[in-house]
Amino acid sequence: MKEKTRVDDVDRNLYDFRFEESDEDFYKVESGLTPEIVEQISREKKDPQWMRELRLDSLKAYNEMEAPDWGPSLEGLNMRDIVTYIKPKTEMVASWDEVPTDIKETFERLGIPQAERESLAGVGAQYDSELVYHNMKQEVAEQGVVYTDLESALHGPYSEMIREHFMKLLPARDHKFMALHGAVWSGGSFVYVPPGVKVEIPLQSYFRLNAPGAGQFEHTLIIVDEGADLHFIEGCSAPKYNIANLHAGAVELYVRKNARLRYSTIENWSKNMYNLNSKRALVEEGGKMEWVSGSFGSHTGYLYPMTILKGDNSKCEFTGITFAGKGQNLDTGLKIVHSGKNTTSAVNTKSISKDGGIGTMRSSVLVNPGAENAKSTVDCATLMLDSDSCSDTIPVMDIRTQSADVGHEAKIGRISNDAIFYLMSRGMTEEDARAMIVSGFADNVSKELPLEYAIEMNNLIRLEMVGSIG
Amino acid sequence: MDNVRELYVNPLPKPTWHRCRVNDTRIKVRTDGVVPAVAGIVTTGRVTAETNLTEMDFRTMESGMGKEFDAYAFSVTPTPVYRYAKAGEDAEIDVDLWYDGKTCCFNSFRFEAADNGVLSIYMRYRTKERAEFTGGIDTRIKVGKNAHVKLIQVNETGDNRVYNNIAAAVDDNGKLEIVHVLPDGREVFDGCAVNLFGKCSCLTIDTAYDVKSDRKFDFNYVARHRGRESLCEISAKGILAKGAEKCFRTTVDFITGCVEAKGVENEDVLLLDEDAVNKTVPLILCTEEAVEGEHGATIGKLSDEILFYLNTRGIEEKMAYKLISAGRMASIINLIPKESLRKEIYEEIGSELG
Repeated sequence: MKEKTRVDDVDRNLYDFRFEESDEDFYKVESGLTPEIVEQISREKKDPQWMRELRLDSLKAYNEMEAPDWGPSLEGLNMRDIVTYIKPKTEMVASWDEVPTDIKETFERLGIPQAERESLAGVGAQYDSELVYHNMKQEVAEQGVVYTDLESALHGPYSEMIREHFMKLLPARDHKFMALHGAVWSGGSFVYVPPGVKVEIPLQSYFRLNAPGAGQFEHTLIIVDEGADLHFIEGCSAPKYNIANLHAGAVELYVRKNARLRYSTIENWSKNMYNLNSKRALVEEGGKMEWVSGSFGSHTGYLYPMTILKGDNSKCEFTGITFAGKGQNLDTGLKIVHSGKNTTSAVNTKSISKDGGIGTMRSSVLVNPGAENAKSTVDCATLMLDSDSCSDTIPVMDIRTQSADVGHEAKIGRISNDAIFYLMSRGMTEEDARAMIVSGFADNVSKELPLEYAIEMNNLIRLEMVGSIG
Repeated sequence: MDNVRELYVNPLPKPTWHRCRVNDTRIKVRTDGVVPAVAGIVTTGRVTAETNLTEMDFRTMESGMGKEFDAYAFSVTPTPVYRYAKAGEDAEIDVDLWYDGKTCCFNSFRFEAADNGVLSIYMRYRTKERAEFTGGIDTRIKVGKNAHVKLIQVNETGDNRVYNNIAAAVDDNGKLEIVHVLPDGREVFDGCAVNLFGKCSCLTIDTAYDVKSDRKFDFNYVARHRGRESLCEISAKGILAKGAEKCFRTTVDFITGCVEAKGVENEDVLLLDEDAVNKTVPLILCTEEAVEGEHGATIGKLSDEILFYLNTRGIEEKMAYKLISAGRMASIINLIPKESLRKEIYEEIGSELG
């Protein structure tokens, strides 16, 4: 008689930890979204005039646009209840010792300062709407690499570069939540890697949303100039509340000629979070964009990083995993546009659904006319851990060039009973056997991450799989 | 115009980004002056003109072209043709639809194979020279327990617009085989939805299409697995010429309870020229753990290995493409059991592979 593992909900104590805070610890705007609130944020951030206008234009777009009707329900998200700007009463500093104790303790528990000491070239730490810490190793700065908070960059020597690139890849009218982002964005990082500079170890930004009923709208802008090389890591978490939180960040990535950018994300928002994030990369001639993406958290997620292979011989690799558990509806995927000649894209995604979770994997591969000899391979695999869950694969291939070579494969299935039996016959419990098989299934992502992050991801899977035989 | 209605057809069972323009297709249909095409119907074996099911039973079947098209079909053809193959019978029905220049024709058919019955249905849509028309066909099929139905549809309608809508339901151990050959057509809208209700019920769909220059084909095939150990295999092979446009949607839907079901969908598309637009949308939807689903698609030019092989045999690239295109059509045409029909199709499309 076959027995099945009953998989419990994740133990999230590490991520749910928070100090008690009161309104006196913060400056914040009223909940909701009005022109007055947008103006208030703009004043608070001392925006230049063009940015103030961009915010107001974005608000207009937000009010004119419809919410998506093809994805997970957003009924539980009411913008009237969301506080769009919360600033901790501290300034951004470059030393952890100067960060207020409770905030510092929160990041300590998440292992950020330790990771910075051991394996990173620089770290930015955002707490609610503002960065509280930003620092980069001296030797990396001496190479001319710029890694700072976006607002400092907006008022500094790179202001023109920001103006030239900000929300150009992701314009406000791209979709409703991009318009929302344009209106109330705050925080985020700016990275510029000069031509030919190779940053040997990664930079990381970590986003912590601590306040109940709040939104986080950070903007990340990265420009990797000709022949340069960068690995950027993005992490995020939040404690769980009984009311909805919202994350509508934006990531714009410019990969110049013959440059390479790897962008790794371990998304672990709490399960009351609506994660409506937008990411887009523009890759020029000979450039290479690599995405490594792990989606574990959030109540509802819409996340589809897009890559535009504009230059000839440009490349994109996408490696991702989505783990949808109890109460989660994670709609993830990717979009790739081939426009240059001899462009290539390779996609390898895994999706796991358990305990009533809904996972949807969408993809879009567009090969434009003139994208001669474009090559694309998409490989999606889905693992269903029980019949309470739901897992859908929705790919679209739109090919408009005769010389293209496009392949797509998808598979859906369950954990093989033979594999479990084999592992149990070697002395493992069923629970351990299942966890091991799922970790192996996610191997495509973990082997692409730096060791510390691969361990964190495997721990997340392990936590998700902890349960009892029943 | 008052007598023209706009319909959204071939709806994707689970929509995606609107920008991809694959969630459905918009068509315009005439609501007046619609008449049946001249139909020659020849039956072999014991087939009656009555079925066990009511018209309402057939109408409530889910179809590939969707509810808007269903409503239209029911309004323009209030009296469908019914054919019923009795239990244990081995029967054949030949339906020959001739379009003879009427502006807009529409025909509806209801077929039922009772338990243990075997029914082969050959449907051809043809046109006399220079006739211009819009043709609509609504076909609904019930496959009984242990019954086996083959539906062969061949579209030889030249430069015309055709709507082909299929709805079917399959009982325990029943099998529905659909072979669909489309060497012709200016605008073809083809939808098929099959509910595999029965344990060990089975569906195969094999489609071959040749979308010539500046033509448009739009497909929507849906297989819903409801019965335990149900099986489906959907396969399409196609060719797109210069300026051709094609959207091929397939959905394998594993519904809770279809334990040990297996579904496979596959499309192989050869683009013969620039300016062709190929859209391939293969969905797998799943709410059952114990299933196996797969889809695969290859789109584009001939592989270098095949070209090299043919070159070493003295065949130049242009001829290689011609041969491979014909071979793809032939691989589906050869699934048609009736030799005389195969021969006629080969003569019609001028292929040397027959």
